[in-house]
Amino acid sequence: MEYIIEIRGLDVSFDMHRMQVAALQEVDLDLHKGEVLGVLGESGSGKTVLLTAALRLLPENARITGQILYCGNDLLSMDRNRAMRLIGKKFSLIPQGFGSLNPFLKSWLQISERPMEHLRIGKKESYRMAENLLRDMGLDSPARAANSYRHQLSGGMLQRVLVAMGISGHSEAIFVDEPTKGLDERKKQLVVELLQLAKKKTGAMMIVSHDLAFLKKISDRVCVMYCGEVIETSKARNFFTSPKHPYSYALLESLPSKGLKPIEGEIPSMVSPPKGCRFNPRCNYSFRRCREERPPLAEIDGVMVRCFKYV
Amino acid sequence: MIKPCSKVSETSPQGFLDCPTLLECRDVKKRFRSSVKGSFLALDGVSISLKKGELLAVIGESGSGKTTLAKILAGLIGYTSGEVFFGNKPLAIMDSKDMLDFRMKVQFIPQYPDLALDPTWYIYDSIAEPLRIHRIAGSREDELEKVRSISSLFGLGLDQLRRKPRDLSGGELQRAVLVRSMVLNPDVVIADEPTSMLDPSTQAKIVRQLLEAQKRNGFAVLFVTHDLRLAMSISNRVCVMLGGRIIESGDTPKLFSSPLHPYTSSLLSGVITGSEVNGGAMCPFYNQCNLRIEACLVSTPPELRIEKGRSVRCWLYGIHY
Amino acid sequence: MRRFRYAPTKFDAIGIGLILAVFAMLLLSFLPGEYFGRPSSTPYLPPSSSNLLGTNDIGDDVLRVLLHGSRVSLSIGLLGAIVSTLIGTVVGIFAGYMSGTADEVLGSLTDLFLVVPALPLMIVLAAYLGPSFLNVVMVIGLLWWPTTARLVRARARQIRGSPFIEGLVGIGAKKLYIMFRHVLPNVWGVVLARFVLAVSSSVLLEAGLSFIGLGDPQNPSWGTMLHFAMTRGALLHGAWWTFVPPGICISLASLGFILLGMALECRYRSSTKSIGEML
Repeated sequence: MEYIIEIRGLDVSFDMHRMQVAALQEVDLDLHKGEVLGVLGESGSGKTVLLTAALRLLPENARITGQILYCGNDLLSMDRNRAMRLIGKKFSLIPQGFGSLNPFLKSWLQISERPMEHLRIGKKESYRMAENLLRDMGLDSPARAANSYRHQLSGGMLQRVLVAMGISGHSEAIFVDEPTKGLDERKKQLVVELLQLAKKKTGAMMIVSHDLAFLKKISDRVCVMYCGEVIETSKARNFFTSPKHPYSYALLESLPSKGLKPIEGEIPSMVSPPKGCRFNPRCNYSFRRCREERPPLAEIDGVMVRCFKYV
Repeated sequence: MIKPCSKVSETSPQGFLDCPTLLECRDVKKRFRSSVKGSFLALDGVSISLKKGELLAVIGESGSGKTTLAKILAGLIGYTSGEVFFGNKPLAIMDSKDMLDFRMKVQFIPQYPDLALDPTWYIYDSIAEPLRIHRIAGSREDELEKVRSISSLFGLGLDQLRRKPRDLSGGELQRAVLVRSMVLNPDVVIADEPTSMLDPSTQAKIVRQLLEAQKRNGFAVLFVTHDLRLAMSISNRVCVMLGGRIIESGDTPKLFSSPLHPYTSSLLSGVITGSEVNGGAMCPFYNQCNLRIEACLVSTPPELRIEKGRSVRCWLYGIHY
Repeated sequence: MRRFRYAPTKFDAIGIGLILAVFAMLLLSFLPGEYFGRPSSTPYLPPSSSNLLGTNDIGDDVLRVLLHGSRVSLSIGLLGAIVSTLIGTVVGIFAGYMSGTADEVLGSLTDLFLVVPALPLMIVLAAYLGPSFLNVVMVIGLLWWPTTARLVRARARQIRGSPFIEGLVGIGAKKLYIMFRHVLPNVWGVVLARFVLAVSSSVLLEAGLSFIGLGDPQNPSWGTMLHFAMTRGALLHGAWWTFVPPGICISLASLGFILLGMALECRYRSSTKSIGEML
């Protein structure tokens, strides 16, 4: 199994005014070549911080330890400039929402930003690349879309521009940030199609989302995050039919199709997370050990789970 | 399936049809004019009525006009033609006293929790504000008591009340907006995709809280959403919108078990083609419909009443009339 | 994803320091006469141990006059800024929130005042109304509000498009209530920054008016000191101590306020940016 990215023991916390907020705790995760990895988590789970850390875009007040290895090189311990150049060349990002698009630039410029800056592709060729990409994604008049500004484009076109930003110029891995937030079924379907197209043009994809139905359609593997920790990692097929961790199970049960059963309690504050297993206050199966010790990530039937039920 | 709840509830959804109509609109059209995008007809003759105690879901994709309809019914934006009635009185001829009463009894919950409340105001004050505006706050202590008790019903504690919006999560903010809408004991709550920006478990929580509040107080809910399954599990009646028109309406169990309009069927089966919606004087579903006939291209089908409380806009049913 | 956050720089510190120095002068001016050099009957005495800044043309201790002058310059500066910021804010909020006809009318009014050349108008008004403390304040107030109005209007329009305003209409809030309980707190950043910058301009403006003789002679400000120095032959006497100190004071005071104002502007701009991200 070839790994594109190996994350080892990643720990991220933020210095905020008078307190420390622990966003990620000892995260171990791999992105395999050729796969789509869905990072599933709700607000506060740390999934966005994970993405940001991999792209070395965390703000000044972040305290980071651990390693993010790309081809054996640790991106975190490298010299910053060298890391940014490497990241720019090898990785790309499909950002969340139309607000990420600059209203003052034509869309082809935004699509070509990465190739022009990091892959040293000239203006003319970049423009042609952008136009071709838009055509491949099903637009009838790609030239017009490429030369338009954000406010001149419809929702569907903007969706394609966002994805094009991620696939212009070859990349080893594409990171996708919450692509379906607030979208209706038709648009979500479009995103699925566009990302399937994107998958063919890259080495691997890591998609961060809280949308279960969407991840079910597109991921090969799923990694569930809760309160800054990885609590389950398994093949997508297995995950959606029989999730192992109680949180995963409860999450699936909270969907309207399963009865909209809410999970008891609240997502804990990251300033003082619960002792022991972080899900224990809300878990129907918790016993004393869960409240005292932190369960390790263990392998059961090919699935990595962090739960004392299985240890 | 969650049982939809209301005071009238043990009867089937048909029972609602005989309840008084609280809020309704007749043949409402809305045209937006913009210097950038030109003129756009968002609603093309929509008639809807909301009965006391029911939960009516309005389903549609983005661009179908559902948010526009919700805002018009909530009195937040104007309409180009048609009429809107609140308890038999037209909105257009209401004086300021009637309007104030309307504003008290009809509450709106927006889609984006982040900007729904003034960022410079404390949550407590934002929640107490409707009480103060309508002068039913009483003394400081009375107000505190009212706000605290309603907030705790929805899981908001003093810790959140004393903060400002930027310190709260999306779910907490949406709950605060919900509490604010409950504080005046409204008769109608219009919720515009209140959970589409939230995590799945938070969605479940908020919807549950809304339903419980409805059970307690008996208000009617107009719930706008694009999520079919959500609408199925919580509503008594449903209206399906496409291209600025209501193309089918009826009570929930019947509509979902035997949909009449081809669009409704396609929504249920999850099959979505890429084609755009048609505008103008034809059926909006024409391009994507595989049951289309000549009449569908020529003119928009009118609203055809199949039976009490069930109607559809499709030429396939016009043959019988 | 770099966030543009306001961070204090050394210029802000300098700005605040200068302002504090100026206010210190103001406080010192309230000390009774024994602490500073007595007036002497000899005009144009150079600085000495008894008269730290020498004496002016009528034998008054220059330092004394300078400190008293701080009272006048600062109070006119502050009052003028208050009047202009008040007018500008109210006009801006109305124009930005009401839009339509009100916006157009107010917009034309703003443009009118913008177009009128400030200094000639002030000279005419001051000459016509007579030189007095209140008149100078009024003149400054009436001429400085348009830019503030423009900026406040832009921000108010942005706020008006925010979903929470719609929510307020939905719970029954009236227009005026919304404008002053909700729009105003949200434009406060602009208003504060503009106010401080306005103080700076007012100080300079007042100095200019007084220098050409339109200030109030009963309450001599720093500008008036310059005026007297010029018209009563200080230059001929080489008495630099009568005009260099007030000149420095005017410059440093307005510089201090400008630096603080720019820092505030920076801060409000970075906070609106984050709202902008959400919008």
